[in-house]
Amino acid sequence: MWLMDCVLSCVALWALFRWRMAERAADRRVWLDRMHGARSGTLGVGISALVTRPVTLERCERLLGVEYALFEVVVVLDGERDAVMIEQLKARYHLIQVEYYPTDELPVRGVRGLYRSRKRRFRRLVLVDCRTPGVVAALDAAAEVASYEYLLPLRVDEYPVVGAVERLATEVALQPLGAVEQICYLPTLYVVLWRRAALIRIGGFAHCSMRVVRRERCRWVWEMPLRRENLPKWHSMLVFSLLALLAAFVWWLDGGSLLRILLWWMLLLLAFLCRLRVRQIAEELPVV
Amino acid sequence: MLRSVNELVCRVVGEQEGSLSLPLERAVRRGRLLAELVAQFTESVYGCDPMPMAKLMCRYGTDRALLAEVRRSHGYRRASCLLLLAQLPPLESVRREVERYLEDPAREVRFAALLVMLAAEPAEVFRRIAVFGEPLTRCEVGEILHLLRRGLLPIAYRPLIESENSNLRRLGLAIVGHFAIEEADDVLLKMVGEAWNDDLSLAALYTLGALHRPLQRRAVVTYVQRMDREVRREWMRSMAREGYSLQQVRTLLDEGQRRRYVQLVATYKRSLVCG
Repeated sequence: MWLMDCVLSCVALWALFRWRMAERAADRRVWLDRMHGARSGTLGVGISALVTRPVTLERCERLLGVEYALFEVVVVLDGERDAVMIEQLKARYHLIQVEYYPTDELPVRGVRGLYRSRKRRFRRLVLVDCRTPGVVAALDAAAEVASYEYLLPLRVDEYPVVGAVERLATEVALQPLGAVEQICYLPTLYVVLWRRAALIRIGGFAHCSMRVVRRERCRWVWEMPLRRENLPKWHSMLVFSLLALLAAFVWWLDGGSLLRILLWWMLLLLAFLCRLRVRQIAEELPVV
Repeated sequence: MLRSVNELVCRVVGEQEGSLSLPLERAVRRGRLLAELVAQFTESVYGCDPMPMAKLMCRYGTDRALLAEVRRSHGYRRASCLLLLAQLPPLESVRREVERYLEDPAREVRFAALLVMLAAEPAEVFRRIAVFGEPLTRCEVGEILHLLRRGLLPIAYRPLIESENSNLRRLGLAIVGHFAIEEADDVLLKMVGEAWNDDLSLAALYTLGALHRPLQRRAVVTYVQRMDREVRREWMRSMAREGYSLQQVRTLLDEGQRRRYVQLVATYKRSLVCG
């Protein structure tokens, strides 16, 4: 019984804390959005988005719609498995093959070709044809040819939220040159942005984790700048319903008072409402 | 459905959407819709007379409401309100009230208060920047540059870049880079050659690259040879991106770095050799 008290109290306290942090993160987001440096191109912080399969024309189009000036999209595809998509990208964006030379910076093998656009308006797209055994190898291949200093690896169906790239660039520019090597999303300890030099130092994405960079060179954010589309909305409700059922089951087994079960359900309801509010804040801005 | 104040302004002004602003729901909820609209309008239209906007704000008490919110809040919310005040037409009541936030414990609030004072008193710009307690970051310099582009500050870069104060020099460098002032070449070279402030020297080197100035000069060669390996690698990528050929940077690099630089430049070119 007391264990259930502790668990549910912790759940409620964590939910309250997350809500408070989400409100603070939203205030910080509004403050960052008021900064003009990213929109006027005076920050000097370049970001390369690294995209691996599956890739569609629509995905490329949306990512290229990011308005930040110093931004590029590096797409990695395998010519054997994705030949049709490669041809579609080459036709759509007028890509031509350019020279590629492997370096010793990252463990990259099997690059068959590197493509850039001959049209100025599509110069932000880079295509790498690489034989990739997995996502990590593909990200390493993309990182090797990226032009800018900061790397933004995107997972499957993940897109930056509107203004997220500008905010990430502003976060970097709020510190001295070279002082930021990682930006991490704290609730899940996920590294959102990497500095290229730091990635090379640790040997690529295969060895990456939050702990490899010194703490003073890591920036923490409470708002996730990337989001998958079509997130199921019933997840939270299902989890909290299961917790409520579990609480009822434990209460029934141990034969506690009515007040106790009501208290537990109130804690769960509080946690659920906080979770809803956090989600509402996160969804204030759409993805690109 | 409108999602942001910016969408609303763009519909009124008839421009394309671009920059972000406060989500509409938040602006309405916090009673800041008029202030946000006036700020966005001032940003979108260059050289408009601030008097009608200032009268509008006084008539509806927008400045008093904003100042009340600044007093009630703290941290990022307070800084955000102050940044909004800096975008609005300057009023004497605002200037007097905001002066005390120059001593706030939070850096973002101190800087936002500085911006309000710069916008309210353009004649005191350089004095206020010089006495700001900490080195300005690139982001903060960008904000001050934005005031300059609105026509609120003078563009005289030479007294800034030759000043002893590092904040003023940072601002001077940003002006030179942003407006591509090639006449500042000699001063940039002198900054690269100075050993006492590495941060400014590196920024001056990047500014020289952005202006496509000749790099094979003694001060630059000495500085590049002293650079850390990672910093030099990053600088090489940046110069390849700027379009410098190997001939233009040959004396700055050793044999191995030259080979790597040729490869970097080649990734931006198509090979025309057949077979």
